[in-house]
Amino acid sequence: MSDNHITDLLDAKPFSDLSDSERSTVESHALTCIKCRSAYDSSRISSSLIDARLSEIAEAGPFFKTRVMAEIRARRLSAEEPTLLRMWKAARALVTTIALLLVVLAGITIFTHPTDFQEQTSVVGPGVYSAEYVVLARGDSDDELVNDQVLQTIYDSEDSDGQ
Amino acid sequence: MRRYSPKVFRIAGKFFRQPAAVEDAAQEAFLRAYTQLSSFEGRGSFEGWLSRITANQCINMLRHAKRRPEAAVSELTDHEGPWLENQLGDLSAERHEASERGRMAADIADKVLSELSPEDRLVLLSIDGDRLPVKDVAEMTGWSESKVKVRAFRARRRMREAVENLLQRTRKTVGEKGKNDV
Repeated sequence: MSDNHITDLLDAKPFSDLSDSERSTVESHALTCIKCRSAYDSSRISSSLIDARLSEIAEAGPFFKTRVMAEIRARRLSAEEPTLLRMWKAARALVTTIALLLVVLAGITIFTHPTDFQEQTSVVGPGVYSAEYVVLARGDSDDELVNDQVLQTIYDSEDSDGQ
Repeated sequence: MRRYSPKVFRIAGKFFRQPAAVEDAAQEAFLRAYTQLSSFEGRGSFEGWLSRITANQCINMLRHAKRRPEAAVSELTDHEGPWLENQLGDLSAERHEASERGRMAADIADKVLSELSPEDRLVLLSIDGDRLPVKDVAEMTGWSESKVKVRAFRARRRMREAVENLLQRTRKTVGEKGKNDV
């Protein structure tokens, strides 16, 4: 039996699963072959190490379930916040656009029909002026003042002529 | 959760040794299973599905973690070297019953196993350690049974070669120490 045969046999199945006949075959060959002896020893130690490693696996602690449930709740809460943020980010552009549109429409409404606005404000009543009327109609009242001044000037000059 | 915890911890324990790390991995596996519950189609067993999630979770965690440096004789303590050497004389299972020796053996096992890939470690510990059928390991990993057999064969060889190298280095170190003492 060559070295290869023994190592293949050792690697083909778990060491503890070797049958008695397989084990005796390997052991008898290992007595005459140093290389196979080393492989055989290493396989035995590997098997022993694996058993030792698995003998100390941890078990769930008494609070493991509570810990997992708390983590589930925490993650669920943290998952909700980004959803709201995501919704706001998506809607932010739309909201801004609508707000700008409203401003533009309001501007157009106010500045493209000033006479209508003036008419509406003059309806308030004689001698009663709203602030908008005073501001917007100030030019007209200036004109009236100018006309009054002109008339006053004319009458004054006629009176002086008559005298 | 109480029903499947032992299974999940058993799988996570093959990848991690520290109890805290095992519990973290188990927790992540349960959380992942909870969030992906809708993807369970009921074709296989729930335990198999959960085992697969746990194994994948542990493999991902190990890959993201910083890789441990290659095990070397210099990493073995003064007691571990002679222990390894003594194993050549007597390898009865009773030797591990003593907690100190068992811990030492587990330390060496951890160092040797760290040289294997996470997948090889899982296959080796499941088949050779837990005596799980190839079919169960195939379900856990999502591989074909023939692939599991091939991986187990290669993992066994790598483990054996790693122990062989460790033994040679230990013998060399022990020999040098003996010469220095003389």
